[in-house]
Amino acid sequence: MALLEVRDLNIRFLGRSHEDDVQAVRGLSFSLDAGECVAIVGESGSGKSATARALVGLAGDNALVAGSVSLAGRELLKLSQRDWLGVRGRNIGFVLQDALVSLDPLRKIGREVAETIERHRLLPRDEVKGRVVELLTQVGIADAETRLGAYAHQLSGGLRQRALIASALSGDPGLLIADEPTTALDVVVQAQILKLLNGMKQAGKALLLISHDLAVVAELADRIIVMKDGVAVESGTPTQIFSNPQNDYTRALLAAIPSARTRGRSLVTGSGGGESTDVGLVPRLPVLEVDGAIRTFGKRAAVDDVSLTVVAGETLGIVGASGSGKTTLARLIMGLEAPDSGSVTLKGEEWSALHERQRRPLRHLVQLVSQDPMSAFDPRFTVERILDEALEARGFERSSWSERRLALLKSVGLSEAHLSRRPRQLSGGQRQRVAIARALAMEPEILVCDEPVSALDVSTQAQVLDLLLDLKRRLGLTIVFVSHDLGVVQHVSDRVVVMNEGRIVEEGAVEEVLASPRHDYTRALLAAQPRLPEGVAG
Amino acid sequence: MALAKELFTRLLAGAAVLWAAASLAFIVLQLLPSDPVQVIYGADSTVTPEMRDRIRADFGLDQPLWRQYAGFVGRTVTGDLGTSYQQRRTVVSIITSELGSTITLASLAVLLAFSMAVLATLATAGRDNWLRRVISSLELVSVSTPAFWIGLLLLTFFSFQWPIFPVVGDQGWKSLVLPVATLGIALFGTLSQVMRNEMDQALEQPFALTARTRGLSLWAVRWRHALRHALIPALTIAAETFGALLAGAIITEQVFGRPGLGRITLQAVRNQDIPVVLGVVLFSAFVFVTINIIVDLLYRVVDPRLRARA
Repeated sequence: MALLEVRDLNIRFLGRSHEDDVQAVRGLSFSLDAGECVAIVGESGSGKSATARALVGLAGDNALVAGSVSLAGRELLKLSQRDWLGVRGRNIGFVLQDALVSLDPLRKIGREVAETIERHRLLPRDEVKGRVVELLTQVGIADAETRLGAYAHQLSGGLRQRALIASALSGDPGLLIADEPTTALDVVVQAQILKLLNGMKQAGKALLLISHDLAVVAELADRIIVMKDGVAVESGTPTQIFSNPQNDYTRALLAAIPSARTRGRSLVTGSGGGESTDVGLVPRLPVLEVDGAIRTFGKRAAVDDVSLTVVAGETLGIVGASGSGKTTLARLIMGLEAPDSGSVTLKGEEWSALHERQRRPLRHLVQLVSQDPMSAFDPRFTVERILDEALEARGFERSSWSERRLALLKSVGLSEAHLSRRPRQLSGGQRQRVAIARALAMEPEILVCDEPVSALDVSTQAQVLDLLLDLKRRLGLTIVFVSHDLGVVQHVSDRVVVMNEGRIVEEGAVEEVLASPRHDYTRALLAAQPRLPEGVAG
Repeated sequence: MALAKELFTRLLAGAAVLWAAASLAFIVLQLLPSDPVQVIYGADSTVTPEMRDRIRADFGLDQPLWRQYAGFVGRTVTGDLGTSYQQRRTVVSIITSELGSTITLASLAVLLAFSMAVLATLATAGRDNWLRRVISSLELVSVSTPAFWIGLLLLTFFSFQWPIFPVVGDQGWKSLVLPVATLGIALFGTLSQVMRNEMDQALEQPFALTARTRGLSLWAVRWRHALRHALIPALTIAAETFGALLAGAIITEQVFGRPGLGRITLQAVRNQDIPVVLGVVLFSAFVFVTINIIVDLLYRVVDPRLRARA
């Protein structure tokens, strides 16, 4: 008998009335043994996180969980609330995404990691600190002793996530559940965390990995379960899933992963997008030039002597890890930040040197699509008001607004029905579409996209990327695309610059740079990229 | 180092606020149409021109305005707030003699409200049950009922109906109970509403889920994690209320006939005893500036993320 046996798991979230009930998981069964990793993959709303939470008895007060979950022969779903407390942390460790918010921001790392040990009284009080240092060292935190007093916000994303994993390991549980453990991290750190989790598996932990991204779990999982709308549509070994997917949805998920081989194709339909028809109309002129730009914060140069040219109608990818200076560079291009020295010129005219009052009439030319549209919108505004604000700023006649609103929504694949919604009532993908519509309302020539899809799951990301490329073709837009994800950059960009520690370390056509990288840092980035096994049916 | 620099700027800003408060109070009083000499001697008595001149000279009222202002500011800096027109005592001694009673009242009231709010929040945050509905209703009553009305109700029941506590005056701890309860209940509602709102939000955060996956009970998550998050806004409200109570628990002190700053302020305004009014204005400005600085320092103790920013 396996360590964890899940049989016919059903999760139902009770609404106000019977019709509002949501069947989140339907008839899910799987087993997981020590030293094994099972991955559950699916988009948001597929029931994967509900499953993870049900396994620790925390699906929520309004959740009706039925079926059987047995851990080392003990039926968990029949446990009393009190007995559950003894299981959590002690028999099952749980790792959430984004340790910045998954660790208590007001408590020191040392105390957070010690909490499980103290709660279950696993060690005498005077031995706790030594054990915490040991755990932090075990997850790869150097000089753990000095980190005990640090708070989550004082650590880098990678160290934070390691500390979170240490806290899940502290009760020495046999089963570790990791719910999107790398989603908030850049590729390099993601690779490190996956390696760490792999080490846990080797050490004999049973690992249940939850992710929206097949590529992330490819190297770690022994078995993969693909979930959609609460049902396991397919399960099997990675080789089976990747080389011979049986289910249409699995195939769509695989096709949605952007990479070099998906260039020029739609990620949703898989069909060729057709060559750009408008290319002939756009003169191939430099539309934006950055010349020797330096921007320092304190003593650190976030952007250090960067020069680049963006040609009209192209997509320039800017790629680099967190802290490489790519967002600061994007802000310089937006004219939101002035370089300490060097210059930015727009269509051959001064841009960075302008006084804000002179720049304002030109601002519509360069528009931003940011990572998290939830915080880029006023949550009280309806979509209608969000668009109207842009239309008013652009100076359009009020009488033309309603027509323009509809045209904008249509161009991003939304409809009139969305006008009355507020950001909270939209899905992540829909919000990003509204953000793009708002940017388009200004009739920009350049769209600066700063990690526009890194908060979205793979399927939604595919739709948004398709939309951006479609708009680029139809409107002849120039796109500056900032991302930490090489696969995404490879898919969308014509040219790419690789940034590291504020400098451009490599630059060129995307096929050349990523096929034969010359710089060590580019090679490291490429190596960290999660890869699908060879022979993937796409 | 950063802290010392921050503290220095805050002290400087505090001094500027005090100076502005003093100047504003001085200007307003110059615009009042009353005659200080009449105030000093009482409205009924007739004053000869010689006596009038002498009084004016005694209080410095014969000086040009800028001199009076300079003298006023200069004396204030050295801690001399002048002499009352009516009581012939220094303003400082008037304030300090009444201060103890007010501080006791304000501190105990804030402490009571804070304790009730913490208990109410811990018992109800992150839940939806009958207890929460009962406590929410009580908070609403507390927020919407004026303090004097609460005071009158308490007096009606606990002094007249069942004579447990004295009606008026200052007779040791027994006479403190009802005024403290009055102010505490009035403050409790706001404090509890804000704290629960904040704690509800904290309990929705992923770190609360993480804490529960370690085996903590919902109660332990509230007590060990979420409470500290709820303290941040509560601190602001409690501190501001404490400041406001020091300078003006006027109505409550009046209802219960207690000595205190509220009473002397009321007297001074009614009698146009300008030095005392000015003194109270300056004193409350001083209290608010001090409390603000202390609260800003306390924020850093509660929330480590604020320490980095300074």
